[in-house]
Amino acid sequence: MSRAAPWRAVAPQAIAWREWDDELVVYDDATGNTHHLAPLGGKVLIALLTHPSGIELPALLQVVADAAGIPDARLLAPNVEEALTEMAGLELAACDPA
Amino acid sequence: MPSPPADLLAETLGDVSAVGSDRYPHWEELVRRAREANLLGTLAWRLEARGLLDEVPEAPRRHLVGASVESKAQQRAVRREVREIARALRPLGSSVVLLKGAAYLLAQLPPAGGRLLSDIDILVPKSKLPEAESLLMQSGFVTTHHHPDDQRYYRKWMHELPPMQHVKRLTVLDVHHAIVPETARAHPDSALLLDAAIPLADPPGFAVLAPTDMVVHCATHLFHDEEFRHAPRDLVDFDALVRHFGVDDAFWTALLSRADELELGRMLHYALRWSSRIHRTPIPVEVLEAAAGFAPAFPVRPLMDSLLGPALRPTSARAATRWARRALYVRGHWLKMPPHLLAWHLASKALRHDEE
Amino acid sequence: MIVGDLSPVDIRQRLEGPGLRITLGPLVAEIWSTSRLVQSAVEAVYAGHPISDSGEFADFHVAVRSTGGIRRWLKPLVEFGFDGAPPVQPLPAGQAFPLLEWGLNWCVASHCHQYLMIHAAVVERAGRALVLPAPPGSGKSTLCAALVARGWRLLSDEMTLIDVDRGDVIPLPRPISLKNRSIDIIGRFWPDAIMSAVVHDTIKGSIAHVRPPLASVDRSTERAVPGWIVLPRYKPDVATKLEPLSKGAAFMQVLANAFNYSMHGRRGFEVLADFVDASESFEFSYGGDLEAAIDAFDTLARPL
Repeated sequence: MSRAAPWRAVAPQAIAWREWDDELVVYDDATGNTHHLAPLGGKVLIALLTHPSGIELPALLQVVADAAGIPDARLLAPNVEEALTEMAGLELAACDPA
Repeated sequence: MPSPPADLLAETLGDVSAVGSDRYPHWEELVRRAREANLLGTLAWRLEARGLLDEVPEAPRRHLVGASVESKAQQRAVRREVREIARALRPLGSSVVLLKGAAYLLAQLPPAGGRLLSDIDILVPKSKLPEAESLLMQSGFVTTHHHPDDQRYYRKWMHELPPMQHVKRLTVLDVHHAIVPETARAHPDSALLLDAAIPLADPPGFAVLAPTDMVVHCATHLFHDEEFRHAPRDLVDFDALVRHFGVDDAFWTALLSRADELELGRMLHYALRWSSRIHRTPIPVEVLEAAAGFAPAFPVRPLMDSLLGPALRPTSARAATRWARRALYVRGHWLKMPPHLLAWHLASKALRHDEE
Repeated sequence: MIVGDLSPVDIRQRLEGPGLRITLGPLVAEIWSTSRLVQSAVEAVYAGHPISDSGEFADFHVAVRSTGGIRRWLKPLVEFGFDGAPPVQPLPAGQAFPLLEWGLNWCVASHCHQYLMIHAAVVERAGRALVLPAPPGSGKSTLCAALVARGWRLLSDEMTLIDVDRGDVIPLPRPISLKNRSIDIIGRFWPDAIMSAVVHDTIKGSIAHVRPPLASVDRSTERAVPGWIVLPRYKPDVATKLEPLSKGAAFMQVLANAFNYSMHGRRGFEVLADFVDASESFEFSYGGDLEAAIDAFDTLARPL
């Protein structure tokens, strides 16, 4: 079985962020854009930033579930995947084929 | 207060230590002239490089700092944009040459320091023009001149496509296939320029003109701008390039013959002459003399001198009774600004130039 | 010396001669104009502003002057002049003073990048800034004028200037610009207000400017620390309501009204985030009941 490629933040050193309650506001110096992320998206991005060398989806789900206090990480899968796709579109996250 | 010297801006740019004294009397005039010539960022950068910016009195320093913020922001934006353009043009397979401001920036050449940039200019082989245009359109660039007459005018007479603008990022790109318009008398062969271009490490696939060609192009640009709008700034670029490349004797040997080969000797002659007069650019006497061989015959020569002098020297008239001949602000607008603010920013529609 | 110390003749001679140099908070503008309308409006609404002496550095040299040519006999036009300004479309001569004000706005917004600039009205109480970012039609200037009428100090009705080193607000008190119905509304709410003559048929409709209180102009070197960010939403006949707004949402709203946020790059983000962090943020709906609006803001500013 082939391993899925890990997800990573596109330019971790270019990211500045502020977290207020559950909201995350992110500045990306690589594109000059600023994003307002919903709670789940924020947790996904922070997870990516704390794993600069990349993190595979199952591990990422676990990190996000722990951060959000959700017992079963699998429940989050569709939402996390959606958040990742969206962040890929914003050039915040990338999934490089190994 | 002593009245400021005619070449106040050029003299100060040449030796910024002149402003070092507490009682330097010309700040107001200097800031006005530098702003009008689009050189406030350059002035700020040169002061900063010499560690003098902090010694400038607070009121003028604010303007210098403001211009420095603006130029750094534009340069960041241009670097990002050039990468995006490189990505869009990758399938073209041949190298794309950056011109002017973006070239100085990406090749880390002296004119880039503090320079404000209005748009990005690239040069591609004429045969690749349609493909380049379609690749750029696929990546979100659209033409800015929608009228069929404008389109015909550009495509028939100009050396570039009608300027393109990115729909989201609002950046403006000029795609050239030659460095002078088709209507100009000289027809420098673009193949010569493209062949000699120097590849950049970043972004891959992009290049800048070889030193002699870059200097000749800069000289040409000085005089192909209808209103000499950017002439003082272009001459500052020219001076900085020549000082930089001129330390190499081989550059001087190659310069004149290259200008001749490109049919642009006369332009080079004017630029050398005026750069040495206004900026005291160190140019070997024999080069100046040899370049004079490209000069027009009497009586055109004194006429040209009298026309060029005022255009190259920015002077600021009393009480803002003069218009600056600066490009429309939106064109140099690298901000990501919401459209309603952009309209406001131009101080409402009333203050907007009805260019199109 | 303030503008009000000069006689109308003195004001005119300066405007037509060497230029009238007025101190506007941290800036000095040298204004030149032969327009009688500019002269009388300056006299009315800049009366409290200090005059800067000619040895002092002037930041902007601006002119409102007639356009030349034969057309001026048919339809008199005025244009705005400034070093480094783009050429702009002239306006009917009757709009000379609004043109001056818009032109000065343009000068600040296009050149003062040493500040982080937000398109927002800002007033102060107890040293804290109340920032009203301005989506179009929000009624920001009306609210601003009403607050100033009731003792809040005017810092600016158009532009909030944030010092990027210190994170506080720099006052730029200038006449408050009112549009259309607001002119009468404020006229009734603040009968003592001194206004310039109403100019009709501008691209923004009818325009009048209100002289800022002397107390605001006199204190224009006193900065204010972040206090409150309030997003006004005017809707006819809506009940007055002040509701908390999350900081993330407030940040994005301020950002949407920032002139030069992106110019400051990462630093702009940090400065703005600190500003939002240090402010309380609210959404404010109101249906035109200015008394109720003032009550709501006064309650906000009352020490607990």
